[in-house]
Amino acid sequence: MAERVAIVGVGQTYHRSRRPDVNQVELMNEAVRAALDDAQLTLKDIDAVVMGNMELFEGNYLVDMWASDGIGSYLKPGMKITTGGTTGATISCAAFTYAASGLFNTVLAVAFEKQDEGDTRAGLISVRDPLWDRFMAIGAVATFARMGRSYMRASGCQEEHAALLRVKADRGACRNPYAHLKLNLTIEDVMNSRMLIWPMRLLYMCPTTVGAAALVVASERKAKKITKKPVWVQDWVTVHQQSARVHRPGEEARVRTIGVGETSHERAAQLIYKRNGITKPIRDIDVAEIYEPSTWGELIWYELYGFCEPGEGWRWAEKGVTDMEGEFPVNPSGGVVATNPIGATAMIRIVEAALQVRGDAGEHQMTRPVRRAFTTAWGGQNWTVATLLSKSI
Amino acid sequence: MRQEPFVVPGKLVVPYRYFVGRLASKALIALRDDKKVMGVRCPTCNLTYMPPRSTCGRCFSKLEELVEVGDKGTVLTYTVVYHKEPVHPMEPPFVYGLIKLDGADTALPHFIGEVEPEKVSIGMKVQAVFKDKREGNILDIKYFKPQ
Amino acid sequence: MTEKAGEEFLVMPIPLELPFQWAAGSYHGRTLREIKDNNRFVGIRCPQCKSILFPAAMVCPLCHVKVGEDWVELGEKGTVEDFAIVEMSVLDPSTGKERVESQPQAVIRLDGGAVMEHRLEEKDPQKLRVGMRVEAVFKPEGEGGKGDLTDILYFRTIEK
Repeated sequence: MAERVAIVGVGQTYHRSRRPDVNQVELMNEAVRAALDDAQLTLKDIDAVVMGNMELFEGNYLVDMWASDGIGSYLKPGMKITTGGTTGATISCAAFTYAASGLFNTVLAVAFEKQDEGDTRAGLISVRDPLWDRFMAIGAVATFARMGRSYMRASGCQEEHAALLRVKADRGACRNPYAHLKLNLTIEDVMNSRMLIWPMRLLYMCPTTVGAAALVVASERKAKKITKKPVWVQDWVTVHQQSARVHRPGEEARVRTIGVGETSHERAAQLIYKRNGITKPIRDIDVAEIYEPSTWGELIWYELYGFCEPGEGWRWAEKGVTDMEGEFPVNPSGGVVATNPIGATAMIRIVEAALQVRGDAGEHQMTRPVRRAFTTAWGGQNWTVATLLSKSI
Repeated sequence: MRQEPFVVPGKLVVPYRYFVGRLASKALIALRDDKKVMGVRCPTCNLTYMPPRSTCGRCFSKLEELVEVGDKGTVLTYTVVYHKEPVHPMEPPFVYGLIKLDGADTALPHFIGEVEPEKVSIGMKVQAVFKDKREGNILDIKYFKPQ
Repeated sequence: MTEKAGEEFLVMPIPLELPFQWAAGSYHGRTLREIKDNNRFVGIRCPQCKSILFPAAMVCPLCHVKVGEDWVELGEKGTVEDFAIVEMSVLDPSTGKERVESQPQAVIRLDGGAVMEHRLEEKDPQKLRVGMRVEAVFKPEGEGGKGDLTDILYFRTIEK
């Protein structure tokens, strides 16, 4: 890297089911103003703006055409990015790369989704191949339900373990002023919620949320002038995996994520660990903000990220390892099952991880010091973005 | 053996909706209920935007001051559509114009009607013709006609 | 986020309906044509890793080599690897209407080795199990096969 990079400002909206009081641009504007205020900068200090969302959820293609006034990209360099569930993380990584390259000193990254304007189910189905499996596609609910079934068959995990993690997520959300669903859930509430597709109940699935997030990113020289509490972006990576259309006899397909062979989750995490001397995540990382559109994904992905051994994910749920007070806290913010403005969701992971590193997360701040935070995102069914944030260089 | 390409017709059908937000709601309600055409003023740049928006792109100020820009304006430029397309809002020939309303600093794209397309000109003074049954969107102005 | 009581916020309906012409390409197209014309499933084998690509594709995503002409008949019988009863409806963007999945959905491994997703005829949860044997039931001739997976009505249980 030419330059080291830090997050010097973060912002997000209060996430809700409906926001009839704002249009898309006004929604983004709230997050941008919050991030600029947090960084104590004005738009004059911003050299470039990267933005994006998942267009299929609003039906407004090229939102960057009319967003420039509201997000501050008027006459500034920058671009728009759409990469599915990872959109917010990819936008962040583009901003990191801009600043690291030396092209721009201070970069604003903006992500949003206004899911009250379209139909999320239709949007997700329309990403499937119209010449193959779109005709019976259900979307993310079916994908994660299948993961859950396969995982239960393979590991001995019971539904209670997912319910434990869902209640953990809700405890975090109830402490997070920005979170969307704050439900004060019990295990019984979760296990009595409506069945969608076994073993996927309504509460194991993320909500459709309206919200936006923004980051201000700066190169090292600039960052030290802007803030006393820079959050250093130690590493970022995006990895793709095989499609689900390669069939090898004897290999169980579509179990752990989707597709065969090594998954993008495994490779992305291992790349980050290797490049940064992490040999034991539970010791070397203080908190993780992972992208779990469903609790069933969270259980399984503990294993894929190498947090724990294969088959141990549900035992972690049982022992409360990933509770906020646990040995390896995951998603103290409440995570994606509580708040999911899709295009912004992956950026919120980075925003929340940065707040934890700074010690500014408020009621859901971890009590012990956070030196290093790890974030992930999952896009389509085929790619992973992972980042590593750090208190010191 | 060469075969004909395999092409399958399909559709994407989704019912979207768009929330215009607080500021634009106020402006469009004034249009719907009182036939008032509203813009928004940026006090810092001393500019009035039409259609209204809630942030000034130049100075990033929050814009809240709705002002009436009037129903009369000037054609900045225009084009005549002669060909028929399913997406077109009406039968050709018809005229699209960029109209700077007297109280605004920016141009509003809209239709120009009640005039032969050949007789439309840049600089022409025009006036809004309102729909009788208005719904709260910019098509509550049916078109602009010569003053 | 403040919504005053009685304040009116406007919302514009924007119905979207876009027509497309999707080209399958020669390999995927062959798989679809075989379904339409011959009621059979064919994939293609990678010359290097021997994996089956189904639907067929020009390049093996594992080896990045161009496949040859090693077409493989996968058979119309298979084994259920996973099934699900769908208790929710979806808005189907192909029609703009709610779609209810009244039949169980399944992941089926065809006897030729490739995996596909489709629906099962059997709706009785007591009779559904992983490992059950099934076979494809195609639309009767003359009922307008399109050359996609909707040409198959469902997979029915093979009686022992």
